[in-house]
Amino acid sequence: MYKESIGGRIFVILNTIFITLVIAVTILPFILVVNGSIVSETEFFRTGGVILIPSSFSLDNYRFIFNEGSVLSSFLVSVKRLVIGVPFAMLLTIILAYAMTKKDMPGHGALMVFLIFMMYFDGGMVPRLVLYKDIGLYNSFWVYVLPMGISVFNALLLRNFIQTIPESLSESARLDGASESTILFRIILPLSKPGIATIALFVAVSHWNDWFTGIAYMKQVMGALPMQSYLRKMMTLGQLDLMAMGNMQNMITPPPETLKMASIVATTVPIVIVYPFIQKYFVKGILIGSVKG
Amino acid sequence: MAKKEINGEGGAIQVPTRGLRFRFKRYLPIYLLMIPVMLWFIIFQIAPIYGLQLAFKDYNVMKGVWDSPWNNFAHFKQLFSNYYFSRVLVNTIKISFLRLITSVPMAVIFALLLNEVRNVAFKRVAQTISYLPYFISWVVAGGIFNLMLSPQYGAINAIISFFGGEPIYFLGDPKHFVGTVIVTGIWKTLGWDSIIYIAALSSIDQELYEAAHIDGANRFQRMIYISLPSLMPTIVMLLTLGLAGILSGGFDQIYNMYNPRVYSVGDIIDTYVYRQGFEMGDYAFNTAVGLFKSVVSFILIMSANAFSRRVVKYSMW
Repeated sequence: MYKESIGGRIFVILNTIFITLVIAVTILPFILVVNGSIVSETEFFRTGGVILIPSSFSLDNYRFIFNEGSVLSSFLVSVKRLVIGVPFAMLLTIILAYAMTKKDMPGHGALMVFLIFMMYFDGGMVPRLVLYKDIGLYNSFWVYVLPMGISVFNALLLRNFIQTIPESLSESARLDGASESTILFRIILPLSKPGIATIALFVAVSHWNDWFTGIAYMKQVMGALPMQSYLRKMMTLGQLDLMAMGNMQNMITPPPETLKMASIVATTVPIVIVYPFIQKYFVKGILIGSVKG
Repeated sequence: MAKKEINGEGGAIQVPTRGLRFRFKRYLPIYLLMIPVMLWFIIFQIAPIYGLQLAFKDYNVMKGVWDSPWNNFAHFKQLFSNYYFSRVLVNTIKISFLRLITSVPMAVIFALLLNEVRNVAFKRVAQTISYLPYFISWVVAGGIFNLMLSPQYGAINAIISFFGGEPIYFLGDPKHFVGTVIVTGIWKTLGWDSIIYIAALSSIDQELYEAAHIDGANRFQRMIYISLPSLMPTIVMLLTLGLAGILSGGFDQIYNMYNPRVYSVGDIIDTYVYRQGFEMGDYAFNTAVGLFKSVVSFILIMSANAFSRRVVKYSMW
């Protein structure tokens, strides 16, 4: 341990204050939104939305949004695309990552050049819309699943992980007569579980957070949109739209601000719950990726 | 199969590279497995490139993409004389550039200061919380800021009014919009951007710090003269990559935070293409705009990688 000088001690104190401030600024918007969504209407307007410690409690906002049937249907769309989309993407990504590790495979060099091109060249949103309309993906549930099949970046991360498995394992299996597919499924896959889990989490989070597909490539029927797209629609609704919603449910409409806060919380809770568990895998993943492979 | 004793002697078995025919045969199962992968690329990455011919055509819905007539580059000739295109191009570059020159130094400073924290628990909590905003979508973050910055019932303006100030239309006033976008962008990515610097810092040889300490360097001096120079290659690389992405500007964020009142300063290439293409149905011209962006970005990223490989010995692939 260093013996701290006076200046050193002042530095430590200032530094601690600075970091604490950064944390506070990061977390404060979340606290204000959660608190705004659970206090009574009168408290919200009295405080102008600045509520650090709520003094009243009301679930009116949540009752209202969950009474509107399309939230639950949107939630199910989100879950369904995760359940189908993540295994689909992982299957393709694993195969591609494994092929990338085979440096002596004829065509390997061409494959890498092709992938780099695919990673950085994008046809653009409009040609994509034209394509989806042509092949019947437009306004179909599958538009959430199929286009998210492969991210070259994720495949590169997984390749770097697989490369850490000693080559001698596959070599000796090969000498024992195992075929390349046996080596992939019986040796590489079981040993890559941590890497595969990390990439699966990446894919799951991008599925959950994807709002654009639902807005751009679906007809705007609330119940057919995933949660994030539903929230995007909800954020653009004015007071009159929300009151119309309330009339349909025979309910008094809470203020648009707090309703929107409640929708934000409902959309974000799943991420925040799993976040502490998955955070370290993401950091590990990004670091594997940044070390030159 | 393959359940036999595996010889664990690392690298003991050397197999010389065999003939082409032999390797084709050996990797046949991999080629077969790659068929669905290549099909996916053809359908979802290459087929949209087919749609790019729209950029060179007068699109006619009845005739479809293939049979619409060629128009002799009319859209591209129009690009630079188009008022909106020049406006969104300038806005995009301005926003990306401001974002880059603020977010990189902020992330470096945050990493340097976090690196000085000796209390492990405090450091871990700080890191965990600072990464959190990266994991929420811009729909959520944009929603939060739209509410917090609202002049009517927004928390920030309530605080400003409390201290006697006039409410500020952060997202509705062209004077404040760009600044608000930059600051909220930093809020979302500061912690995540700092990860790569923190990793670089942790790989610095501790003996350097010991030696500097014995020579009488204080904490601050050690940070400036040891930590910061060690980060330079990473900083150069990220700045280069950031410049290569200068035509992006951040569609997700801007689309979820802007409104017609701030189009003059906040409308970027991607938001413009989306609005005109998807909401107005003007496919052909906006395919041309998108193609311009894709091609320029592709050239930039390739040059950036070449530069970064030569100067800091790091390349992305």
